[in-house]
Amino acid sequence: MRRILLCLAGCAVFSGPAVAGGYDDFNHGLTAYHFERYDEAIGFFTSALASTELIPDLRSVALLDRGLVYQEKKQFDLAKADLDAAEKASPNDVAVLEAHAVLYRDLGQYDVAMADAAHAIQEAPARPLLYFLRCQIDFEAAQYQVAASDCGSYLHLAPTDGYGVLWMAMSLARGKQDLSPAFATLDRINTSYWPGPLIDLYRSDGTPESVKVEWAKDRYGDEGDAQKGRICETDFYGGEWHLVRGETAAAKAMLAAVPGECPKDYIEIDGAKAELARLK
Amino acid sequence: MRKSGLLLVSFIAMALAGAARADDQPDCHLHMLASLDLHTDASGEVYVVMSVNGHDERMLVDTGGISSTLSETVVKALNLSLRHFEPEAVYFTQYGGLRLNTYGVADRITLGQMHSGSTDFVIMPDGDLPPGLDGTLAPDILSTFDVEFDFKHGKMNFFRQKHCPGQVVYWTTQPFARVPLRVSTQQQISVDAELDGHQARANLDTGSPWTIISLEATRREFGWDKDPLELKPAPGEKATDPHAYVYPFSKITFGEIAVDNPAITLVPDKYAGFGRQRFEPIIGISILRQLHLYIAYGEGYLYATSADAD
Repeated sequence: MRRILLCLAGCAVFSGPAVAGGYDDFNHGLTAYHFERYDEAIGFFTSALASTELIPDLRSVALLDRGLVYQEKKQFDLAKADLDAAEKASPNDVAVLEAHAVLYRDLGQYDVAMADAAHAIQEAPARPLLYFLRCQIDFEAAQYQVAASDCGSYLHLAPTDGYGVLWMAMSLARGKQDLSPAFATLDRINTSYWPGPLIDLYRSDGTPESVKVEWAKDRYGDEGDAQKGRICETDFYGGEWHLVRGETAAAKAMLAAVPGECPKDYIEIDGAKAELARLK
Repeated sequence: MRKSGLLLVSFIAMALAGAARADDQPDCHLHMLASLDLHTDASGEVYVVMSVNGHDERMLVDTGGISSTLSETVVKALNLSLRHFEPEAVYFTQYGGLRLNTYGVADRITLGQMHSGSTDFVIMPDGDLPPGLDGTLAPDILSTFDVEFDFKHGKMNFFRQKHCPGQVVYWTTQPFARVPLRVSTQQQISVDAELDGHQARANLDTGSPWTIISLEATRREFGWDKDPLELKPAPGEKATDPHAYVYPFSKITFGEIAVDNPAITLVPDKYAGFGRQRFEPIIGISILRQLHLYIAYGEGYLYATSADAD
């Protein structure tokens, strides 16, 4: 029998459309995307989308993934075009709606982002992270009461997530409301470990500066990245803590440090950027 | 936990009901029992929609699993009755080390036109499934059929296992590969493979987005006293103590199938969570979706053509 020879992205040098079939290009695109070879991924997905052989389901995935790559490369107009097209092709796909919501949140078009998030929640009401996403969008849009409500829904489904507690506490604090509902699930969270000290901050214990001093130490033998993560998170949640107290200068200084400190997949980066944009 | 005996009986009974002919003559026709849309998510993982107690759930197709699973939120939403493994020391371990020891019981499940009664699903904590998916469809269900994956056209077909040996590749007249399968007692499937000239048993796992192998086992097998310069942290991994590495392997073959320059991720054993690992690659969907596959669980063979073969 003939050997079936396959060639994955490792050997493939992208050489433009019409070299391989659309389905092969699609597969190469997925691999390149996974290994963060973004230009290569864009080339393969573009070629796949130019082919007529890709079934609608896979076309939608190619548009979604190419849009995410463009977003990663900060080419927002191209990302918008792809994610708009993906949403048109798969209007009820939760992954597409979520990506669309995140893009439009990053672009500051909160009404679109909120509508996407609401649609995604309608499609997948049992998925906790969708409520958390909408809480973040609400917060960035300075709709703190709604944000608190969404974070409350998130904590109802994911009661042990300390970050849910933090965002709900922040939302309530910025909305000048009683913070106690945010702490309703604390008995199920081990606050002696991270991000417990940040939660304690919102329970009026300590200052961001003291948290940073204490937790920047290598007290649990964590790797440097974990320490770095704690410092950047303290700068974000601490910056927000200062804002609640009207200490704008201190808040700005901490928030400004966040984008440079946080690993790139931390949610605090977008939050800090949005807050800084508002404070200008 | 109850084994899926009921499920097996139920599905098979339905399969046999369709065979209205005497069994004393060879019937080389394939009997398709269901054809489902096979969807692909943003990472390339594949899933089908299965109805559980009347609700549509997105199930990752996981040939590398043991028992089918549902997420914690789905189990809560469907109000399934919960049970624990007995004795308590019994549990499933997922790749990464996660231990699962609770299961929920669904009254009725439907796959295409096939139905089954009481069925057990191990409960997966929220966040441990790919985003947007509700559970996994594992060999406890899959292996009661022959299963065809047409990734390119987005179809997953279920067949009766009874067929004439070697006569299953109906979708093309082009040559095909017929590879002997090792089917474990838990119905996971593997094939004899060769990675850069080194013999290995390779597990075929549609539930793994990528093709992976133990870092330590590779070091031992390849005799690396010192890691080669080409071994690098995988993209997105930190430089110190990364969770995954990449290395430019030249070729992996199994049966008549050869994959040049395969993208394989090397994972330190401590992050795989299974203790000391053997030199056994897990061939994930990144490679498998480039094929058109027919897993003949009953016959013990894998049939494959390129995904493009029509």
